[in-house]
Parts: sequence; C-alpha cells; structure tokens
Amino acid sequence: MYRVLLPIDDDEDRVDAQVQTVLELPGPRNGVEVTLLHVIDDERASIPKPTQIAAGQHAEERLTAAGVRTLERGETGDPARAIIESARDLGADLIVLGGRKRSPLGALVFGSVSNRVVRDARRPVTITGPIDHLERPSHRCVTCGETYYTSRETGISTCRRCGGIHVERVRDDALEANA
Amino acid sequence: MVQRVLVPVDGSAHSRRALEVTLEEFPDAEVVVFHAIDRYDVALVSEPAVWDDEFPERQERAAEALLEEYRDLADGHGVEVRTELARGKPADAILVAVDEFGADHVVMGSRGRRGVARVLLGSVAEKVARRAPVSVTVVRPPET
Repeated sequence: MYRVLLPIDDDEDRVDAQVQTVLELPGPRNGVEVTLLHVIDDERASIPKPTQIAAGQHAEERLTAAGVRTLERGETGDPARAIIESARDLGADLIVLGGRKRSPLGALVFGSVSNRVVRDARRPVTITGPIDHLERPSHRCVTCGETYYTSRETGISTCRRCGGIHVERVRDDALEANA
Repeated sequence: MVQRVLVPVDGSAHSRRALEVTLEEFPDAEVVVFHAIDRYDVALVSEPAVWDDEFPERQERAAEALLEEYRDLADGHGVEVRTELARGKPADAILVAVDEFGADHVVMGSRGRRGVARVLLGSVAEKVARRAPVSVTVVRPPET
C-alpha cells in the first residue's frame, strides 16, 4: 500500500491541485491510501477533522470517487511539526503539499510551513505546481475568450486583454454535479 | 499520468537519492537526468582550477563523467535514462530545462553537494519548487 499524507487548509484550489497530484500517481488507485491531515495552530483547540471543512470534504469526495482509500487525521500545534510527525506515525511514502496560489507577481510564495516540511521530512515531499497546471481556468472573458487562473472568489471587472467588462467565473462541473 | 520527469543532479548523495526515487516511483515515465554547469563551481574539477582556455572543456568532461555515473545507476535498475547538460546558474537552468524538455514533473534533492552541512533547504531546490510550472518532489537521502 502506497501511503500519502495530504495536509490541507481551507483553500479549495490548493486542495484540488493536491488531489490531482495523487490521482496522477502511477499504479492502480486501490494501491494508494491517502490520509487527509488538518492542523490547527493552537494547542488549546479541539482536535479538528478534515472533513469538517469544505476543502476536506471536497478532497474526500474526489478521492473516494476515484477509488482511493481516504482516511483523516487532525492535530493541534505547530503545523510543520505535526505534518512531519504524522508522516512518521503513518509510515507515509509521500507527503503532498499545496504550493501557494499565484501572487500578482506570478510566482508562488513558498510558505514557511512548506519550507520546514521539505527541509525536515525524512521522506519525499511533492509541492504541487500552480493552479494553471491543472488547465482548469477560474474565469473566462465572454468577449474575447481570455482565460484566468486565480481564485474563484476573485471578482474580475475588466478583461486584461480586451478591456471587456464581462469576465465570468467558469463553472466547476464536478462541484455542480454534487450540489 | 506523469510522463516525463526531469531529475536535476549535481553529484551529491541527495541527487542519487532523487534518481533512485524517480526510478522506483515513476517506472513508466521517461527520465531526463539534467546537470547545469555553473561556471563558478570549481569543486567539480579534480585538478586545481586554472582559469585558462581549457577550463570550460575540463568542466564539461567532468560533467559528462558525472552524468555517466547516473546512467550507470539507472542501468543498475534496468532503466535507460536520457542525460542533458547545460551551462548556467542551476536554478535558472533547471527552470528552462523543464520547458525545453517538456517535463511534467521534477524530482530533486533538497540540498546539493555544495550545501553546508546544516539543515536549511538549499536555495536551488527552493527556487525551483517555488517557480516551476509543474509539481516538484523534493527528496533527501535516508538517515544513516
């Protein structure tokens, strides 16, 4: 069994990229087991459950639908340490972290948690590429067809290419189907 | 499905581990082992570096020998890998190589040969992980 630790936060786009990375692993899907991990950076909080947040639910649905066994785990305290210790406890073969969303400058910001996990983990760590690696645009200009790869929550009033004022969010058919 | 993996190497134990992990985890993908010759990286040349006309050629020969070691390592796993050389600053050269060779994934060591024996993530791995248009897997050798 190939065990993957998938730490998540509430960013659904990042989780999508992480899930996509798992689904692109070679070998049969039923040979892969994913543990979703959510960490709350507060020792006094109660233990979280990944499927209590939308991103966690979404990940669990997508993975399960694809035939990947999905477990969940919650921790409190320092996120980087929780990730590394969880990976060790589970005997994880791989940790998949989400790269940060594209900043306006177009480069990923390498978070301090990611940095420490990559530095200290005893096992391979995959950092997912930026959202457009998934080839699923978040918005499209109705007038000229220009595609955008950013958070769906962002409102885009003017198309950067043609100046048109109708830039609509692209429907995520997978999400719509489950609604 | 990952089809072509770029494995940037520099002769370090981390790089060896990166290739091993690639061969184990992506048995069906094409593998491109890549090395960037950094003009100022004199440690690769075994004899004292002399800044004469032959220095670039010596660097190139040393780099070819290095890539031969990785071909042998892959051969030991029963896999034939492609090797490529380029000149330039490592992180930049690696990012160009991702595009040029059409890689859809990168596997590399968390530190290189030149990393000081401390725990910081190497700047090359960090730059690549930050800026690559594809996902990047970072590995380190198992603890001895």
